[in-house]
Amino acid sequence: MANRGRGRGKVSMSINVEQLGFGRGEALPGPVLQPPPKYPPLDYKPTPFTITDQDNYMLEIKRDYAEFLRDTPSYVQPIVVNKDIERYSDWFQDMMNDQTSYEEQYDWTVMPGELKPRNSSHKRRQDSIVKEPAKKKRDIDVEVRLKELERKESSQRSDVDDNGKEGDGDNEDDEKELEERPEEEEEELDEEMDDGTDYVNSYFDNGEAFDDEDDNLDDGPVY
Amino acid sequence: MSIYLCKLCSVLLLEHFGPVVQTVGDDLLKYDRRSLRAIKAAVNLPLNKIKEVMCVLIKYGFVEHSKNDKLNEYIIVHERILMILRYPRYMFFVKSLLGDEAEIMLEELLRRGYETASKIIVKTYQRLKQLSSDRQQPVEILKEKFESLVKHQFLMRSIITPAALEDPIDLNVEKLDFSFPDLNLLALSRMANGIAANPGDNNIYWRINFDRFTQDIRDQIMVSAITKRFDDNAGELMRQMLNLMYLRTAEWRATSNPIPYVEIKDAVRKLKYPMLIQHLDQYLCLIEEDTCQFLKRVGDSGGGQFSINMKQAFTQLTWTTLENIVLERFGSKAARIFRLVRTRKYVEQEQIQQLAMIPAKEAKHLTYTLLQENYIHVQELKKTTVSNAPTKIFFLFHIDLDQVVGMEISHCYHALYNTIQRRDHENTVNKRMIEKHLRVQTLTSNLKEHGATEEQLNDIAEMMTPSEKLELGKVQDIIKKLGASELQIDETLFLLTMYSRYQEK
Repeated sequence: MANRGRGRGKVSMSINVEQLGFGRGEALPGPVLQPPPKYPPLDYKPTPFTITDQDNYMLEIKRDYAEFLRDTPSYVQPIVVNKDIERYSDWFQDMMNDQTSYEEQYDWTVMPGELKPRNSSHKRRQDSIVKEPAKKKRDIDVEVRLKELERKESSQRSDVDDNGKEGDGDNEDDEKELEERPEEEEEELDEEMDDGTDYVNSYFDNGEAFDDEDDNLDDGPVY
Repeated sequence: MSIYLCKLCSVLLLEHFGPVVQTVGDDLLKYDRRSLRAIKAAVNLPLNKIKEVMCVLIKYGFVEHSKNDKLNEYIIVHERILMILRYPRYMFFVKSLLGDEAEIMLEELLRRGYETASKIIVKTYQRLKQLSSDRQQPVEILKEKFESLVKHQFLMRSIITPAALEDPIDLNVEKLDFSFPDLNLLALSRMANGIAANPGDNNIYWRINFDRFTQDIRDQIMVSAITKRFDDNAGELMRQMLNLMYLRTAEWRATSNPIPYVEIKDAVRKLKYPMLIQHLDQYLCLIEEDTCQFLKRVGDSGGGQFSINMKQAFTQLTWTTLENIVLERFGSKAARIFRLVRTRKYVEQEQIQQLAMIPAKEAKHLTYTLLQENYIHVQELKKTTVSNAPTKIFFLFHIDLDQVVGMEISHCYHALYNTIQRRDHENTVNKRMIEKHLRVQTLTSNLKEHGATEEQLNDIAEMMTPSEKLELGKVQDIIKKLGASELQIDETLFLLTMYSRYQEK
């Protein structure tokens, strides 16, 4: 505002040009219209340095460290998809890359539970191993029971007291089975829930949270 | 946050953990803290992969997680990623302090992120066995080595325990645990020979106490600075003073509590430095009166009380570093101007020309170049005169140290990023040749084992043509040089971050 009314046509500057070292009437340098060069020439070359034994040793450690990590599971392998044809050599490659889940490498007492992998094949296998003995047990139970039934049939006309006793035994067997069943159900429930997440379950949404930002971040609708 | 810091972290993750980790890391670097769902929404990867990556990042301590409102949040720690650059230095430090075995243990721990003591000891045992039989150490000695690592506080127990996970308040409390569990030695030696046994330290994980290493590197810088300025005796004196400092002061205080003269004398007497004992008074006086201001005499009782001025020491070292940077970038005349502005605090253009004794035009040119590159700053001062007279403005040049250091730190990130990129480029361009060289090497060593004749070996050696060998030598030299400069840039970066760390407090 200070230089308003100083007259038209005169280039007014906020600073005195003479202070910058230009004499009166000396031409100012033109505007710069190009971006600065990507690799400007250096006025001063960087000083050369010698690599000491210590540096050499440290370099070796550094390289070893990077190379070691490259061969560990920590170097997360991308998923290879879109294989055009099956090749014989794939078989060897599969053998070289161990396909085990990362779940076994970690102590899950010190990691957040939500990072556990879902639907890991490893877990399924373990469950089936656990279940098998139970089935066998029941098979045996059935056989025993059939035999008992046969025995019952053959001795249908025996004493009433005997019948009563055997009946008691049957009842006990039944109870045992009943006890086993709910346990199994619980196990199955566990399998769904023990990831700590509820991605699988569906919850009724009344639409109130429709505008929430979280919803937008969600990975698709929940079924 | 500087964009180059993010880029540098990203490149470091790529180099060590692969492209998948890099993509997830990039997203975290962009937002600092994210929930798993948010990452999933932003990154085009299957959920299981993302989880796997998060596990890796947590394992190595690059990401911390916190729980609030039942939602796990993941926070990326930039400083920890940059530490990767410093791993070799730490390993070398431990090697010179505690020996090869300790170094291997540290390396194993760095490779795994966290681990139990028994597994580290067993792994070290096996590695030593592989290396050579005469360096073989029994498990008992290795255990002692591990304990000495813990005693020096290089390792600490992992804070994250099952109990702490359930109680999130517990996580925030910084408590370091250095208590060593009882290990079953018999079980250890059985494990070392490949028999399963229970050593008795399941779930007790050890991590590296990086803070301790930072302190040691800091001390090393101070000792070497004094050694370079005076001599070895003075350097040793400084080292003893620093040891005495740890006894009475918290590690990161700006100045130490006063150290009495008697104690310094006692500490020095135990050493084998006859010259130092004789001239202890003179040495103390020298360091104290020097412009570097590492030591300060704070009292006269009991022959004198001295305190170490950490903050001042690093300010001085930073100034020297900056002066050297200006010297190497703009030449000695510019450095003279820089020093002049520093000593004069606020100075006018006219004065610079006169005091620096540089011709007017050149002085102006250099001053403006420094100004343009942000090494010096300008302060306008308007002189209030009579209302209608033209206002006279003074332009005073000065240096805002914090700002220059901030700029230099980001220059360091930039330089590191560029160096790593260049090294990567050299590696990919010459991949074929490097791989061929490796193949030839493995072939030769294989044949040597099977007792091949000299002639056969020569044949294989000729697989590489002379021109190829020449080229390979050149490339290897370049890569080596780039690697070495990475280490050197990191050294500068360390010093500058030390300065800003002391300024923050």
